[in-house]
Amino acid sequence: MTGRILVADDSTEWSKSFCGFLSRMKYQAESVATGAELRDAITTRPDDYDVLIVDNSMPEEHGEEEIPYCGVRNLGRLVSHFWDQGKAPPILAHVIVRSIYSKSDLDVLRQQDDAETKEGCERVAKWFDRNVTLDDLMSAITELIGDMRRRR
Amino acid sequence: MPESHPPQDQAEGLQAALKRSAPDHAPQISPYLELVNQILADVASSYDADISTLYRVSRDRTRLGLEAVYDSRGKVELEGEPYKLEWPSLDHDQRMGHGVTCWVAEHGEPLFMPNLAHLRRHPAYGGCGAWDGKLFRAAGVDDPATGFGCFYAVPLRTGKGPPRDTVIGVFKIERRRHKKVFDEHERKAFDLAATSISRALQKYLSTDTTLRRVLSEAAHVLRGRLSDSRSVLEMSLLMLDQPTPDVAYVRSNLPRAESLLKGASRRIERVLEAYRGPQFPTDFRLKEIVEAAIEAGFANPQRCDTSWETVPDATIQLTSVQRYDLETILLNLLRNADEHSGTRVPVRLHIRSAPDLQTTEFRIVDHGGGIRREVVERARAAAASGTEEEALLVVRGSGTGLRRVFHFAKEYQWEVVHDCPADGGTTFRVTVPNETGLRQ
Repeated sequence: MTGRILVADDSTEWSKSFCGFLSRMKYQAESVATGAELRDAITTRPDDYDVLIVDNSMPEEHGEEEIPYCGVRNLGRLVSHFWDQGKAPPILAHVIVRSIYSKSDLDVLRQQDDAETKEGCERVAKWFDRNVTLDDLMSAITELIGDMRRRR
Repeated sequence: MPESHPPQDQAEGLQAALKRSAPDHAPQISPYLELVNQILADVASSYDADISTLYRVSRDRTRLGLEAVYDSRGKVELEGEPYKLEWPSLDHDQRMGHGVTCWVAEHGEPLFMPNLAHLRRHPAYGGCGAWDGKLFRAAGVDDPATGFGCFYAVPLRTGKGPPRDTVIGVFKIERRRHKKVFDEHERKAFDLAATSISRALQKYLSTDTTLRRVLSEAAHVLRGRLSDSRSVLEMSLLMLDQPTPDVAYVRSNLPRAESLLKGASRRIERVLEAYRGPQFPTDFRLKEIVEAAIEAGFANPQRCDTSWETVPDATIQLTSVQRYDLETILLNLLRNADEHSGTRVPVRLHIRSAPDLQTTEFRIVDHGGGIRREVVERARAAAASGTEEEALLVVRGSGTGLRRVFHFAKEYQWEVVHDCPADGGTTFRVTVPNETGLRQ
């Protein structure tokens, strides 16, 4: 196994396809589709993942409208959660955002938003537009996993 | 051997192709703008007013531009630089010469100028520009026969708040020197005309904003779906390029790519339909709206158990964009219900209306775990506090959109009631006021 990846994206057609691709590349991959599922997966099994690939605009829960900065806001919530426990899992240092919103869009939202969103923004290691090429996405994953191994 | 065409044929072929690709019918001119123009023309001719002018505040609220000018013979084609609006604090407005029309917009108060001497003494008066030269013929505003006589300018407002937030334009009526000045009765008539113009303009702006939102949503959906489908195809190609091509993976991916594109295509078609359709209240068949929502909401339409309590072929009066939004509300609530009901129990949709009722009611019921009351209330509160700009940011994803449901309900003053009984299940009741009632 070369790495364990969590994919959070409400476009399940893409996330299922990507998880299938990752498993064929010898990664272990799982997907979630909402902000609540993302928090649940990481809080219950914090050490089961190495890298997070997150869509920034997802619904918070099934049955809700998608929120443009749901991804980073939940990152911020997770940081607060693990801060209270005194230990942050490695996945929170290896976050890739793949978003329809550009970084400048997020900067506008961040100015009006809460501390959790700001904290979440600080945690993003790589930021890609949604039309990022597969090469660039895979290079980012390889780089982050390499970084994690060097630290270990 | 490749077939060749002479240039003439190619040109004709291109023209034919362009003709084929043109929409069946161009977007219709808003009847609200037609009404505004009609009032301007009527005032200029009927009241012997000579010149009636409409100025509009720009979207960013920084400029006041000339929208339309009519004299007693008809529309006058004029061009000119817009006024710059600064929305000063009215208590401390010491500026000079920035324009009396601009002053009316910034202060939100009517202004009557009985003669040129009065006008020139007004602190905001900034001289006669090129527009006035054209309107008052070559002799200009000083001409004793055809020069400036008097004017009355009325701000067009959306409410009683500060002018900065409520003024959307200025309606100005001018008379040449050889006629008497506007009396009190005439000015009251102009106030009434301004009210009508203001209402029509608000309707037009509201429709325009909705269209911009709809098109913005279409662009967003298209961009996201195209990016995802391109990525899925890229992964498939890479898997085919392996020493041992992974055909099974590619086979599983193709329906996903197709599903992404079909989803985008459906959404764009619906958006274009809304845009091309009539932007004034028109009869739409209820059955078509409901069927379109069910088709978009369920892979298997049998999942929806529909019952009717209406006259046959019932219709409802909506604009084309309102129809689109009503369909979006139903689609979202049906998807929600489908997600929360079990796989075997169908979602129930009941449509109730009758000629004597002033409303059409849509009741969506599922028998599953129900959507929590706090989730619904959070969505309702978010929609209530959101601005139009935020509404443009809010986009519909592959999930369902309660917030959007409440946003539309607020925008059109439709009622959405949620009930989540303790024994499970969810009921949403959408009530759409029907000004003209249902027709057979």
